[in-house]
Order: sequence, then structure tokens, then C-alpha cells
Amino acid sequence: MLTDHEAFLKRVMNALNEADYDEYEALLTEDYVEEYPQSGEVIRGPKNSRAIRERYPGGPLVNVDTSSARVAANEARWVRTPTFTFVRAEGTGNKGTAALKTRYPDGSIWWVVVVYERRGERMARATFFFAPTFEAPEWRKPFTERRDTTAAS
Amino acid sequence: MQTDHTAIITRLVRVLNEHDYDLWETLVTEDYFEEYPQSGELIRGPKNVRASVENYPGGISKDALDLADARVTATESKWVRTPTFTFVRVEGRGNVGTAAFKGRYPDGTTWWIILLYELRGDRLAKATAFFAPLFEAPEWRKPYVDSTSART
Repeated sequence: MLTDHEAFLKRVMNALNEADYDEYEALLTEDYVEEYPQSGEVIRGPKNSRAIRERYPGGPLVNVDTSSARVAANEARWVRTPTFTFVRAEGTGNKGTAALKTRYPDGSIWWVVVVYERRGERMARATFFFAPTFEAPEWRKPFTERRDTTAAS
Repeated sequence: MQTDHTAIITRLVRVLNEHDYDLWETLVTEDYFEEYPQSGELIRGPKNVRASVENYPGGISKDALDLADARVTATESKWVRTPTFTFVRVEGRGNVGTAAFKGRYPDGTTWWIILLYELRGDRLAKATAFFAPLFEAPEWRKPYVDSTSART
């Protein structure tokens, strides 16, 4: 049976955007593990995953921008974005990668890249990377085109 | 025929580490392009991508890309063994994958580089790159964190 990664991820993001943490917990397996390779942090279990979102300094993160999200998974299509058009990815697996933008309480905008694994209809494992927006450097301009990083979709 | 994503990505990284850009150009398609969503940059064609690597201010040192902790997940490959993940097989057929590895920049900083890529045959056709710096685990999160041993 095909699983719809895009619909599933939107459900997760909507739960976070609406601060509906009971729903968020229900979308995670009981042995869910989350890790941040940039800092070495490993967060085990839905309760801890929920706590770090509820207690984020400055307020809960409720600005996950699903309009610019990309989903690459072996059973899903890419979401349409300003830079990528639809690209079908096929398969029968349970792994995927999602990239989305979020706005932090200090106003900064970061890309969040999540490499995840599902079990059934729940998230079982996720590796997060946090990448800040930055100005394109002058030296690279001869080789590049530019796109608006603030555009939502 | 199965595509070995890990072998393809490992080869690309090794070629970049060896500064063998002529060989690198043969490993990507003629219409290859890279994009950097963080800055909005889009680099079209192997020549421009190569130039952006060769002209990096300060020069990129050999072996700047570290595969020791690399992860590759794709529709036909396995995860690379890492300190925190064990092997997990990914089944299926496809040409899209994700690779994450560390890169050391001329200023001495280390960043994770995450590539969402697309293959055509055995060549890289498209890549979206994200650059994520290392950071210290914040104090407020420590009560909920199992360990901080994964950082390398």
C-alpha cells in the first residue's frame, strides 16, 4: 500500500502550527527518536519531543511554512515550489526527506531539513538539520542566478 | 538494475576531495544544476558549478569533505553506518536521494552539507544543497535530551 508522505508531513506541520501537541504526539511512535547532528543532541520519546517544542524560549514554534515545503520520498511526489516543479519519486519504502522554512521567535528564517523514517502512519525516527538563510556572496555571482529567498511559494 | 546511491555519492565526494574536477564533470549530467535555497542561488551547468568550487575564497582544502559520518538515504540504498544510526535498508526503485556529510571550510569551521539530489542513470542531474553549522546544545533543552555524544 502506498503511503502519502506529503499528506502525512502536512498533518505533522499543521499540528505544530496549531500548537496541537496531543495530535503531534499521536503522530509519533512510542519509541520515536529525534537527533540533531549539528549539536549532537538525541531526543527520545514523544514526550521529550513535545516538550522541546512547547518550551522553546520565546514561545512555541508555530510558524512552520508548509507553502514552501519540499518532500522527497520514495512514495511521494515533490511538492510544487518556486524552484522545483513536480518530480515523481517512486518506490515502496517508508523513508523520506522534507525541507521547509520556519520563522523563529527572534524573526530569523531558517530552512529545516528532516530526514525521517515512518512506521505505519507514525513518525519513528527523524534527523533534523537547521540551515540559516544567507546573502549570496559577491564572488559567486558570475556563476549563479538569483531567486527570492523570502518568497513563500 | 539497482542503483547504488551510496557508491555514486561516495565517488563524487572523493573526486571533489581530490580536486579532480575533470573527472567530476563526467559524473554529472550536461544540464546539471545546483540550487541553494538559503541564499536563492541557482547554478546552472557543470562549468559554473565547477567554477564556484574552484574559485572558493581561500581555496577548499583536499579532504575537506568528511565521509566518516556520512548518511545516504535513497530508494535503492542503505543508510551508511553512523555512531547513532545502524544500518537500515531502504527498499524500492528510484532516482532521488538525500546525502548528509560534513565539510570543513577554509576558515576552519565545520558545517553539515545536506544534498537532496536526483540521478539520471549513474550521473548526478540535480542537487539542492543546504549548509548547516555546528552549534552548542542549549541549556534549556538539556532536560529533554538523551545524550550529546552524537556530535563529532
